[in-house]
Amino acid sequence: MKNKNLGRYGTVNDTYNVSVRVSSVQTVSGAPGSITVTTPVVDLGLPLLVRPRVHPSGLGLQWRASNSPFNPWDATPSWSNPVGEYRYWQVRATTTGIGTLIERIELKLAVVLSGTIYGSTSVSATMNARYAAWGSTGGNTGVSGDISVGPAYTCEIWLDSWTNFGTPYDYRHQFISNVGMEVPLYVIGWAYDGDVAKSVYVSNIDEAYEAFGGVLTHDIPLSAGATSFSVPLKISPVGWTISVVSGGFALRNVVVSGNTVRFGAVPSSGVVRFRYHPAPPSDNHTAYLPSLLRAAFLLGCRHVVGVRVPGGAVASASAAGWTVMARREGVLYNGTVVQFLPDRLEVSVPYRSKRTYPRQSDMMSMFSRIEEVSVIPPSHPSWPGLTLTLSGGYSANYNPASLLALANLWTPELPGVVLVPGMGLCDVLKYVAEAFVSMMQSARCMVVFGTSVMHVPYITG
Amino acid sequence: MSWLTQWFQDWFGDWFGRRHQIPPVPYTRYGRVFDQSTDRLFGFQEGSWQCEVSSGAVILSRTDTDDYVRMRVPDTDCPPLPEPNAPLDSGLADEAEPNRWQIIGTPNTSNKWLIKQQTDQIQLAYTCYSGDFVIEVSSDYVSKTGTCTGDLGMWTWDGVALMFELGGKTFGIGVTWAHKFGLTKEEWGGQSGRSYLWFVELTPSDLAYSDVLIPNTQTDVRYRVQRSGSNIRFGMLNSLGNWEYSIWWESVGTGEIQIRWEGVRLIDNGQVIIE
Repeated sequence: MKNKNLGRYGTVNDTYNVSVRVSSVQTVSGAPGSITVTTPVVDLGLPLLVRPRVHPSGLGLQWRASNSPFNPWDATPSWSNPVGEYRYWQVRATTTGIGTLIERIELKLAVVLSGTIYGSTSVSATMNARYAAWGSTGGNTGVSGDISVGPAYTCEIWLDSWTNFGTPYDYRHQFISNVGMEVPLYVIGWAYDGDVAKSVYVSNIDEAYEAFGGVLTHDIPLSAGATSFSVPLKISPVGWTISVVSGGFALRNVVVSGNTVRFGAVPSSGVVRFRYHPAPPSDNHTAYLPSLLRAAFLLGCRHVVGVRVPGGAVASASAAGWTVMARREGVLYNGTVVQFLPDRLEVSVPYRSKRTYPRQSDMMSMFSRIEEVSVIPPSHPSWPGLTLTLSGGYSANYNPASLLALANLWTPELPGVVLVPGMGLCDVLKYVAEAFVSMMQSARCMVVFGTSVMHVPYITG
Repeated sequence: MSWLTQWFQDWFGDWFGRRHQIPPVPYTRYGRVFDQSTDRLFGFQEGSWQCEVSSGAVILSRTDTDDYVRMRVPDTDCPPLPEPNAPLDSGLADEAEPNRWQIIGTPNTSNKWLIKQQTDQIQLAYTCYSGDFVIEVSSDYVSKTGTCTGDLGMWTWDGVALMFELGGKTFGIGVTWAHKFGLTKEEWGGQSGRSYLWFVELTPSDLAYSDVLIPNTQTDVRYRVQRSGSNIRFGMLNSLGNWEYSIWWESVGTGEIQIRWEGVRLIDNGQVIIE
């Protein structure tokens, strides 16, 4: 409180504590006519069509692009909102509203619609869709329509034995070859590992497993006399192999239970390599992404894209202003040890080989090359002497909330079929369905809710 | 491109007739970080990589993974503080701007901002107004605790004022409870009541001030600060709905100001220094 006593000819005893309400503040004149935020020049690595976006959507948006690099302040190329395939892009957003915030700028990859669907050759489906949306058209049990280019695509109703909303996962689906048009199949699901809210193109089952933690390989050191070891996740009973890497012994009487492997006592120290398919969590298995992707390939799909739902947490740790975060959500990165040594940085993800990154004078450049973790230094950082152990990582639940988050974060890059498994229209809230419909209208895709892979045998084998 | 090559191009490119070139960034989302490999905040800075905002804009952080760009103005309908932190990303001012206001004390902001003279302060987290401006505040006296006694001829003002520093001086205008011992003011029907108070602290020992009484019947209580060039004046809405202005304080300074609401107490012998 600012006190000022100017009195010189009398005394005052003032103990008032006055409360004043401030109700509003308004700039009558003098506010900027507009404000603008401009991104750096973005390098996409190769010429691509980009659809810049700003949030909120009503703001002014301009962009420029070129296939030659340019500086952020260069007069050219002009801000002409070009449409085409360019490698270098720069975007700026403007608002004139005194009460409007500029929340986000995104450079979304778009699709070239010129005769054929860009870069796609694959599959479509005939499904027992309980909800579908196709561009601006849609229906409750299936839909026919065509994209503005290419042959017509048809999704026909396939009647099945599903009769009960109380067992929403008991109905079945089938994939058939599509002779009309080839589009990618986007499979949404839950996974222990992998990027979230991103399209991950996989060309075979093995790639799918590697990308989403469908198979894990651990090198386990054993001491002489050891009779067991444990792994982080429950082991699928029919989906594991074990081999001796060093030690010169053979494992006998191997029994797997839960996440523990038991065997007869080993005669000497050594290392065994354990490779296994984690068992899906029981409450998520109808949407378990590795199983779904495997099913898609087994059923003949060729161009398959996995999309992991977001909403989990990355394992992280902070100290002395430094924060280290796993690059991917999930429990697999809990316990990761990151050690800043004078000449290097070591990253030890549990059950994996330690990775070493030599120290470089350009710390940011060095950190950008670390595969397992993101390193966020404090302002004006100097190389620390820290050891950080990451914790708190988990995968999102597969539920309407994570699907809604996905719909807000992810857009298919190419027109295609988006499969939302294990959850019918009756199981998701209206706004989730609407979010998908909105996304699909802009991405020119078809969404199919409510399919399942429960009937696919040996799903994790 | 290796860091050495990059460094060489950055620092010596011009010497060899090559235009200085900032390498492009790989990031495709700004303002929200969902994925560290592709996303950056508007406020990120990595070497020469950063977003640029125009002069009337400021980047404010919402969380570690979310920030936004807004106009450098103090306009507000006085939401609960330090929240709101929702709804996230609505794009509307006063929503989810948890770091816009800096708070000292415990003002009650559940219904607008109730600021206590002796303990509370609310300050805008950034500066604003690089040129001419008029800012208008709707504010009113609510209550008081304590007592005030004094000799005849002594005047006191206790309240909360909008203050800012400019050119080495402190400027303030606010709503106070004024006590004028020995005087019965017709507008109040007694010795004390609401009053606008403005002041300019020229030096720590040299304060100019004036006041305008606020009759009991007046419900629309608003005050203004106006700058034109390097001159400042204050405006107060009277009971007739007209603006009464102070003199112009000339050549007091230009450039952005950082406003705050803070308690103020003035005690004088009743002699108006400048009217």
